Amino acid sequence: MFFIYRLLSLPQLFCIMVLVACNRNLRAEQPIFNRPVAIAVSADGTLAFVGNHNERFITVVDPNSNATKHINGDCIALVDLVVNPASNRLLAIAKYPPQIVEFSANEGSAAKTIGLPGIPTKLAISLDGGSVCITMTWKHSVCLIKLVDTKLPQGFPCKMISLEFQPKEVLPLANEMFLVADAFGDQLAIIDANSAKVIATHKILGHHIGGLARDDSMQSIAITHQKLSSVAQTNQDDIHWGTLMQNLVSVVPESDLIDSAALISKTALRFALGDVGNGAADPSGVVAWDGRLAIALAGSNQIAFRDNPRGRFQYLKLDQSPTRIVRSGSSRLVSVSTLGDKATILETAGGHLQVLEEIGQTKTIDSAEARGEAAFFSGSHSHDNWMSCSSCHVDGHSPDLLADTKGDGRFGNPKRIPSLLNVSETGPWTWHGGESSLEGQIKKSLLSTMHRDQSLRAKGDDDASIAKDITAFLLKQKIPMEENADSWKFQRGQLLFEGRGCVRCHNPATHYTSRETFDVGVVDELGQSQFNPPSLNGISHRKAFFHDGRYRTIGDLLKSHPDAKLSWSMDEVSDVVLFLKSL
Amino acid sequence: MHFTAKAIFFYFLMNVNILSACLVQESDSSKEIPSAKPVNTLIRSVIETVLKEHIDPPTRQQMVLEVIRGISQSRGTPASPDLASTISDATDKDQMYGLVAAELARLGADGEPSRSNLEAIETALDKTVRGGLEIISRSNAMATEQIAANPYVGIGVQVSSPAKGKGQLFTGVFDNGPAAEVGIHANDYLEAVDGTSTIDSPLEEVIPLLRGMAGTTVVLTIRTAGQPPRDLNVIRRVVPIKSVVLLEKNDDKGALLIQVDRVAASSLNEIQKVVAESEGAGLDVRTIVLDLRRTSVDNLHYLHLFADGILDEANIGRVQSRAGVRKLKTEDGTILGKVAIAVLYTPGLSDAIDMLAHASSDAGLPVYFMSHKSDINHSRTIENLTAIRESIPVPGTDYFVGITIHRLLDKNGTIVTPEPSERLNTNLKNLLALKKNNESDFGTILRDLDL
Repeated sequence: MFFIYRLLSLPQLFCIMVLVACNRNLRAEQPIFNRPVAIAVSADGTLAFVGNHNERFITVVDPNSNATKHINGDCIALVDLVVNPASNRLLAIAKYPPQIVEFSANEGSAAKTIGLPGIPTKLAISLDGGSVCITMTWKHSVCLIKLVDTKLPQGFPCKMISLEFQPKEVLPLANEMFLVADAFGDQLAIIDANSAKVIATHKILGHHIGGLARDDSMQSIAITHQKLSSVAQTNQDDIHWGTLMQNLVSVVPESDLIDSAALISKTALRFALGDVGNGAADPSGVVAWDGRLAIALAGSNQIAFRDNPRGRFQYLKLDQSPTRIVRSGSSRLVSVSTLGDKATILETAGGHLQVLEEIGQTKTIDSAEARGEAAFFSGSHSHDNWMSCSSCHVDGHSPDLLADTKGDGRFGNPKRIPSLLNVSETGPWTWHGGESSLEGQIKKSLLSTMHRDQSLRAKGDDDASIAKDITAFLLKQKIPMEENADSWKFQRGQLLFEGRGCVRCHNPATHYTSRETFDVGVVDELGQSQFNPPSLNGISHRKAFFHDGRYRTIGDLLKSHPDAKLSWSMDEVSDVVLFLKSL
Repeated sequence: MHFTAKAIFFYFLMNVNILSACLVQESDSSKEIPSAKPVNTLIRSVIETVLKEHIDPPTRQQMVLEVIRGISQSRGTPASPDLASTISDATDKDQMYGLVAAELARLGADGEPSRSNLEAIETALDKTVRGGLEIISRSNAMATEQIAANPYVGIGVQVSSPAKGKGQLFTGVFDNGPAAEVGIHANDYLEAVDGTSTIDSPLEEVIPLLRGMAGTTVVLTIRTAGQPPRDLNVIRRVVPIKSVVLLEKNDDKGALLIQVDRVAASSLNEIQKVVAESEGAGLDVRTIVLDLRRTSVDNLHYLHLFADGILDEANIGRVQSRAGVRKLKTEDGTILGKVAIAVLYTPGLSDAIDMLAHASSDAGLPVYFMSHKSDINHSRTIENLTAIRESIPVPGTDYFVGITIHRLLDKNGTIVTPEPSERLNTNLKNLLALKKNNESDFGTILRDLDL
């Protein structure tokens, strides 16, 4: 789930997408997973369907017999799939080209394919099988599709709903409603498929929502997420005691979520995951039933399991990083590891969770970029596995929170977390421009922000080689670009941007930043006034601006920028905002 | 705010008792005075550190004069009669420290610092520097940091020296520490460390012998009353020392009374664990009462973190340092989500706790106040915590200097004053006034909270 947008944006992936097999028979051969990004369970709960991003086929697993087969998913760059509970047919969404595909769970091969108006991220189908909701993170929207007789309709059925945040995870609720979660920050929205409207919005306490699950019997929703404290410092002690980064699961009554007046930040039950000595970085996919919870801890290669609503979590170590998890039948669970190309069959018995079998071929990681990706999403590079790089730079982007990282040499001076998408070309780095090498900055982060444990260095896994690998990975991370209106407004916005001197600091030739630092009349809490202008690339995907997040919209920033030489009219602000959003 | 000589001594003993539990040792930490630098270099480094870091330092001339006077007094030799005018005539700091070197040579106090020199320097500066000053060995400074941060290393004992010739008395042994595991108990005596007798040794020489890196072994010769001495191998390791204690719980009302002994890096985690363990035992925890009546605070950052954990979007106050004035605010939510929090505290224990209690009241938490129990003498604590002190490395030496570097300001930016009784507002509830007959503090609070 972490890896979807990022990896789908890499064109070279096309090269390795090889059509391996179609309609393979159950038990026929060794199960194959190739970047498994999604998993869904058949209507009767007996089979798990694993969607592979880098293959055309779906891997079908029978958790009771461990038998597998492969059916034709008939799409490239699959990012999510679900089973329609009313028809037992599969629905998958894919990125290249953006589309939704419907096919038989038995034979595979597409019955119908419909193009989508934007890059899809996640998919959910209503509990009655009548509606589909697709999130489009970089379009800040969801797409609703009403099915006809449980099948995809003809024509262009997408009803687009704009959101105030970038959606990612989506979960069906009762009465054809959907819960949609922020990809990076703390926002939630409830969408009514019948009225095609947002009927409630909420905020959780935290960020990086990694998974959603509905507990039918408890009528509650489990939300996995993290919470970063800007009061805590990135020193080893604050990490050690779990005060810097908390890994959490919040359990919210479904009735509160659909109530626009409810304050779920006050009513949710929050449970801490991990403890001193065993952090639980990046809680991701989750499954909830009868008060039980099983959570894939993607950053710490564990499954957290709780057998009753008041029980303590137990932690089961896996060989690979689990990302998604589903329940199959009364006692079996299946998790997949997106980067590890594995699936794990688990069983709950006697209040405990145990591994029955890990399936899939051994993966060989042979490139710096692949190693860097694994390192970026691993909690093992932080003290006691409390966080990964992605915990703050969520999926390479940013939740726009403040972190006190001692980036300028002192604590007590938290700064906004920058996005790392497009970061390779936007040096120098840090808010005060003190780092001229991206690799050097990553190495410093491993040492002084993540507090990588000394014992790992003793094993020969040195910071420099990890930093080099992560750099190789980040070099390829870009913000997916959506189309933009080429209108007079756009052109006037560009003209104003250049004519008003914005380009002095945000130079188009250097990705709308500069290699110098500037005093623009702003001082931080310790009196420092020289700032490194952040790149404006991808500015439309940020929710806070300036080193301390003081501005919440680009318009506010333009109207109040301390270095502005002239005031801006409303129309001018609108034009420049349009232009900036194209960057 | 100044330390009296008695207060310093008391403070030192208190610290030593605790520090012995949990120290990481440098490769050569058997010496408490390991500086290889001449004493005049130490004096210069300490004074320049005060000038650079202290929130309100005296002048360089003042400190130089007092230090020379202090050393001359300790050696029983009068300082030069024209010392004050010579120092005030010095045109730059090099010239001034040149005078220090010359005067030390004249007094025969130059060379490497001796214990008496060190104490004389410390006493002189302690009188001169606002908030007092301590010169602390590197290992002591590290131990203090470890205690506040709470992953500390040692053998898990508290030690005192009751009388010369009797050895050192273990006044406390941590239940979960290495010493307890090998059978050392409170009231046992320490007679030797690694085969070297410590019976006549002062405590400050014994403590470094007990300290060491995790995984290293120390052989202790222990005498238990009525038994012959015995040798025990103790392996140093991390010794968690709890900063909070569950005092009482009320099953019917789902309430816990948790005493916070000190605000440490681990405090929030410990409170979460107390709640989780109570819930694991079947209690539906709905309210916790934090007893702050004996809570010590010696680290501003951990105070801020603690406040962040219990107060939802609160404005605690401000803090002033040489870098400027910074607001102390807390973020959304608390560590316990739906669990309600109430606070019980003693006005005047420290400005830090007063500040926290007032911020709690402003944030809507029920805050109860009640005089401290009579067995706790906190008069010195009140005196010493009107500002936050930290230990700063002294450049070029193995010492740290403990000085006041933060001053607490209220929300309006004025200095927090040690007049707690006048600062109490009507939101705070006087527990004594609420009490009925023999009702316990906890019972009174639960009744008042209508649980």
